[in-house]
Amino acid sequence: MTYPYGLKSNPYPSSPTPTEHDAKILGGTRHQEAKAAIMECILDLYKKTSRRNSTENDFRLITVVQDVGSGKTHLALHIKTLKTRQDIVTTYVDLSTISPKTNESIYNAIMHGFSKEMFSELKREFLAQICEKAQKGDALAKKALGYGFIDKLKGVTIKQKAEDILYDKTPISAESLHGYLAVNYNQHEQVIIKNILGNSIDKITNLDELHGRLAAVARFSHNLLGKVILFEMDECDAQEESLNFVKSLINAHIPASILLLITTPSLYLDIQKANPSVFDRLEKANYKIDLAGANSVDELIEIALEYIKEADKTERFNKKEQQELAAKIKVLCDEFPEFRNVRSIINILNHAVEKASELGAQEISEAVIDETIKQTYPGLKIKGSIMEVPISDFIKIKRESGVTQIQVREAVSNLVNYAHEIGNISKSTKPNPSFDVVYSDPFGTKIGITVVMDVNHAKNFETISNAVKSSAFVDKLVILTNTSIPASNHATIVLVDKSKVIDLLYFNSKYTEHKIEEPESERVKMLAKTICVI
Amino acid sequence: MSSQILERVEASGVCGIKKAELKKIFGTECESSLNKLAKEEKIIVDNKGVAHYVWSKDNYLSHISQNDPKFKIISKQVQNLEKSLNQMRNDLTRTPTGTNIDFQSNFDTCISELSSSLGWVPFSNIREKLCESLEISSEKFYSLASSLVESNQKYEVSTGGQEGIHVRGMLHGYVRKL
Repeated sequence: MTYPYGLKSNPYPSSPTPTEHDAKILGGTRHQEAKAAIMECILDLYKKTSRRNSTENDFRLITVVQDVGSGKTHLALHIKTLKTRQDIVTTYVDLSTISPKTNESIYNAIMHGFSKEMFSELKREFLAQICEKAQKGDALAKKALGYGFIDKLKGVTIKQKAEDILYDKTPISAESLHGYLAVNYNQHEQVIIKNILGNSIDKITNLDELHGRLAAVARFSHNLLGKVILFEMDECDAQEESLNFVKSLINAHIPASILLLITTPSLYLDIQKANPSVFDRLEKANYKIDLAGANSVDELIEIALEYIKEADKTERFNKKEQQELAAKIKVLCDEFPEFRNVRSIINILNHAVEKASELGAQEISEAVIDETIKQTYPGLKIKGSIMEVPISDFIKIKRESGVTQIQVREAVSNLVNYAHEIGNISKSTKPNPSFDVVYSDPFGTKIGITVVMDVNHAKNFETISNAVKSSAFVDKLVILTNTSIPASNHATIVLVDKSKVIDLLYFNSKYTEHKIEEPESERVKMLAKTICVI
Repeated sequence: MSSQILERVEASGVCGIKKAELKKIFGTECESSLNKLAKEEKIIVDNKGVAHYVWSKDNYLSHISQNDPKFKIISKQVQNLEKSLNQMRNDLTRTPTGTNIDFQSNFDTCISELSSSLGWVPFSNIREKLCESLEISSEKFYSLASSLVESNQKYEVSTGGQEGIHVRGMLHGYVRKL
């Protein structure tokens, strides 16, 4: 199967919410800036704690507040997937998936949010420590590994015993381990080591245990792995349980850790009302990441292009193609508010790539977008379009219409021709230099039309005032313009907005190609009426 | 022959041309062409004094609006009507523009006055303030706010709240200016 731009697969995800796999690609200036801010926070904390033991001062709070579908979760998962980074371990928790939100259920979610690799690394480190102590003759360490006289007789080494536990060939005895841990670690650390070596998670019964154990994980991660911990809490809401948990975690100041809270503006303001104390803490966050403009068209375009750029191994997706696709996305976003968010635009592009592949198109063309929208958003229409311009033609016209005055003039002239042909009016055969078109209506009124559509509105004012002077030559003067001007007693001013321009240009292309069919005839009449041509 | 006759009639201007003179120029057989043109409403045949005169449609309108007192009155009334219609049309198009400018500046002021640390303001708070100061209904407020936000990328809206504008079928109850 071939995909557009020479791609080997569809680069756009189709999931309604991001997954860790989708989040590997992060595009968009604002999202990149947000990532840089989080990275700066991590690096700063990492540097401060790298050559000393961490303290309660080594805690940071980051808030990410933006609307649904703006890419907050994507950003959080992207940070989590940065496997190449040596300075963090991340746990991602979606608070909306936890019910009821008890300390125990949240603790379990946090522990399950860590990667298996982190626990494997810690297990290796703990066993190496026990092994070292055992080799130095520590009886409790030997006991913890289950190393006894028979092992010695058999020629089994302490290292071999440790490796058997590491690779889960022999389970560690909790009873034997207890003595060793009791001497070397505090109560919470003991539970964490026991859990890591035994591949289990013990329940917590109170808040003190929750903080103590998380602090133990953070300490081990910092001291043994040299990494700071990033707690990512997504969908933070204003429920009492959530807020109590967040408040306690901020107050606990887990050493060498960062708490990243993700929420929406609506929930953020709910938190303000529900718990001013928590809100005050959030307001004092070390980093407040806003993602302002995350759904702006420029940002959406950058994000959309990034997926193809990342997947394009052959560099076939060149600057020209990038600009063309960007222009098409811009038209889509400008015209349809439905697509003005990251998820929606990614979704439509996912379908568009599949459609292009199905049609054998080498790029995401207007026709491909048209077909895609027809299939995935069948009810979507161009707003304000009398001619019911198909989306593909609409995108094409919008992209191509630069200086429109000449095109609109030609379209209006042809609209009058058409009205003349179907017998609604009588077009004057003699050209009149004062007007673009002159015709007589069925009552014999002589009507002159002047099109004033320059991009320079000041120039339009001047042109219109000159045109009005010619009003005496006709019974009625109609001025079609894109400039909003005061009413005149000598002329009928018709404001031609963007949708009317598109309609006129679409009509013109149909008319010149002799492709106006019966159902369209009524729409053309309606268009002519709206701009006072008939 | 018809086109030649029509040309001659048009050239005679507002005064028109005597039917008898046309017969002199084009011969008596022009009668059928004249009838045809009259049927097509391209020419008008009417009495001026005791003679039959022929005008083009435009010129005949000018002729009677100058000489026929009844038509003069009706024509003036129609012109006045047209002027009032134009005025009404222009008033209609001008009023929203004026309101829009007022609305936008008031809307912006409300956002800066009522915003939280992140800049978000519930639509309901702005609505309460603006409906009172601009004396507009809730419906009018949301109609203006909706078109303002949709046409201007300087604003950002966010979901949630009890009232607001609908985008993609979702209620967006918060707004801020970027």
